[in-house]
Amino acid sequence: MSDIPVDLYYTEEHEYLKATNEDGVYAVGITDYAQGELGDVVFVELPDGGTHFGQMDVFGTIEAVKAVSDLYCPLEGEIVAVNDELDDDPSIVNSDPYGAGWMIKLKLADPSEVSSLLSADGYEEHIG
Amino acid sequence: MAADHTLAHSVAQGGPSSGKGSAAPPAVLRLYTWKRPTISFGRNEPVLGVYSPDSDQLRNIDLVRRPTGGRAVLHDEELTYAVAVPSRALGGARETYRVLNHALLNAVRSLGTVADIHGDPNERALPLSAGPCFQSPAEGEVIANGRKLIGSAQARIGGALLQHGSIMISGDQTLLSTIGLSTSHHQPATLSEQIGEVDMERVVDAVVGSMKKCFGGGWAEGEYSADEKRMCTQLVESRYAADQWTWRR
Repeated sequence: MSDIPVDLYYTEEHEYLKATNEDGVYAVGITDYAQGELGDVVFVELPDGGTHFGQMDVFGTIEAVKAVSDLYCPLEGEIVAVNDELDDDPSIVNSDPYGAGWMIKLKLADPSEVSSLLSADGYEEHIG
Repeated sequence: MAADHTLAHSVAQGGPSSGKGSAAPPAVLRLYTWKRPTISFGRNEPVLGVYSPDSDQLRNIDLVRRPTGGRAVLHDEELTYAVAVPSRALGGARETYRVLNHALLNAVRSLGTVADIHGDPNERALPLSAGPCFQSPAEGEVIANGRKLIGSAQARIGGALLQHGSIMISGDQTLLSTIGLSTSHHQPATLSEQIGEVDMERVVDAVVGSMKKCFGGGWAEGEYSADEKRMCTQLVESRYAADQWTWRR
C-alpha cells in the first residue's frame, strides 16, 4: 500500500508538490507509489538553480535499475533549490520520497494553480 | 536508437503508423541486427574517463548512447529486440519488465536452451559505474548457467514504455573490459554455446511467436510512416549521432 499524504498535490505523472515555509515555494519529488514502481533508484539528474520551467516541461531524469523516466514540472515556476544530496545517495528517493528525497524547490509563477493538480484522493484513484 | 525512440514516441501518440493508412496498432515489436560492431552506453552511464574515444581498439567500432538505462553493451553477434507499449498497458514499468522477460525466456527455451530468470528480489541494484552490462545479471533478466543471456533496459518516453535489449547469439564482451576500467572478463551466456549452430531466422520466429502469445491480438508487419522517418532522421542528427550526447557524462 503506497503512502499518499493528504496535504500534498499530485500529477498524473507521479510527481508531488509539497508546501515549504516560504510563500509560493514548493518542494517537488516523486511519490511513494512511483519510487516503488521504479525500484532501486541509481541516478537522478536535476537542473541548475534559477532555471525556469513551464507546466509539464521535463526538468530532469531518474534511473532505477535500468528504467529511465523523465521528471515533469507540475506547474510553471523557477527552480530556487536543488537537492544535491541525491548526487551522492539517490536511494534517498526510495527511503524517504516525501522528506529527504525531495528533488527541487519550485517558486510558482501562480501559486493559485496548485488547485488544478490532483488531491490525495484524486491521485489514489489515478493509480488505482 | 533513433528508430526505437521514434517507435516509442509513436506509441505514446496513440500508435505507430502501419504506413498503409490502416488503423494504428497500440504496440510495436522491432527486431534488428547491427551493420558494424557498436558499443551502446546507458542513458546516464558515466563513461568519460572510463572509455576513450581515441582508443585504437575502437577504430572499427561505432559508439552510441541509448535512450534507456543500464550499462555498456557491445552489440555484435546478437539479435536486438525493441518493444514499445503504452506505459500502463502491461501494468507499469516493473510489471512490463517481468512480462517481457518471461516472453523472451519462453522464446529462448523453445530453441532448446536451459534458461531461467535471475531472481533475487532482495538484491540491491548496482551503481551505473559498476562495469559493462553483461558482467552481472539484474533481477528479472534471462540467464543461462548463471550468466546473462539477454540484457535489457527501459525508458519511459512520453506515455510509452520502451524496452530493448540484446539476445546474445555468440557475442563476446571482452572488448568492453579491455578498453574500459573493468578488470572482469566475465562473459555472457550465448545461444550458440547453449544449442550449437544458431539459425537467426529461427530465433526471430521464436521471439515473434512468444511475443504474439504474450500480447495476443492481431499482428501485422509495419512500415515507417513519413512522419516517423522524419523524426528518426531528426533524432539521429540532434541526439544519437552527436558527440555531445554520446559523451555527455
